[in-house]
Amino acid sequence: MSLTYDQLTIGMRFPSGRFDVTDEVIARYRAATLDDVELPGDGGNTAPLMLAAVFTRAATNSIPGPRGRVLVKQSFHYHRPVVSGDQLTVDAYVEDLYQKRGRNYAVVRTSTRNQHGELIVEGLSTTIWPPSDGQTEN
Amino acid sequence: MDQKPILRPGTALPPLTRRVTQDLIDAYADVSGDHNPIHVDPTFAAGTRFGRTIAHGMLTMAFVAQAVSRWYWDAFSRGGSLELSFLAPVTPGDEVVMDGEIVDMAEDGSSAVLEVRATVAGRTVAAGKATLNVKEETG
Repeated sequence: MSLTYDQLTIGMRFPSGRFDVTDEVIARYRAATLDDVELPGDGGNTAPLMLAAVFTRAATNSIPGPRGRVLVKQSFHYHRPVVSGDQLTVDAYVEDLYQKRGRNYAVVRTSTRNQHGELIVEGLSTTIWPPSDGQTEN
Repeated sequence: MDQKPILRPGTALPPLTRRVTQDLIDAYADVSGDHNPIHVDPTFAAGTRFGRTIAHGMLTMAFVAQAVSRWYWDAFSRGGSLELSFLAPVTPGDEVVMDGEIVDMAEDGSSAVLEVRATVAGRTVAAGKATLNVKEETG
């Protein structure tokens, strides 16, 4: 199943996603983002904050969308760091839908908790979706 | 970790530079699972308004987060935030420079707001703000 913009509704929830944080995940993420930042007390098992961009997809990608979506705005509010061994649960829902200058915008809010139920990070993304007829917006 | 300056309006975030390549974009696609063809398929991307592949916005945001994290990790990771608008594409070969400065402080010094941006050859490709929960900083 692949969503089109016309199928989105405000309040629509994505299935919850699960994401296990491992040393390998952190190492691969750091390599793919050229991240050489030394974190205080870091034995290499603290995740860069923007790993949130990966694990929040565990929910938002549970129903694939069309090709060619473009992210235009993103925010994250960080509550506590993520470390190797954390088991994360991500919830996401469509907060807003609107059109501007002929383009379709979707705003999705996410929240992620760890295995203790503690809030890890909240996110808000605004994405331009291609037209529902499948044509590439260009 | 860099020496931490006293935070006040005008205090500059130390700049950070990162070079983007198609290999890096491909690696980010693999680790994130975001294989949107606008990032990884030159043929598809040539037919879009960008005319070529573009880096994931989240990759640029990762660079900005690195610039802030290496400066004030505890204040950023425990109660801080980052918000970015993606204003122009980052493409393979671009050298991206992240910088920013404190624009506001709580009266009691417990929090700070930075304006942050990413530029390519002086052109702003992403801009926004970061907040620091300074009372959490232990370093």
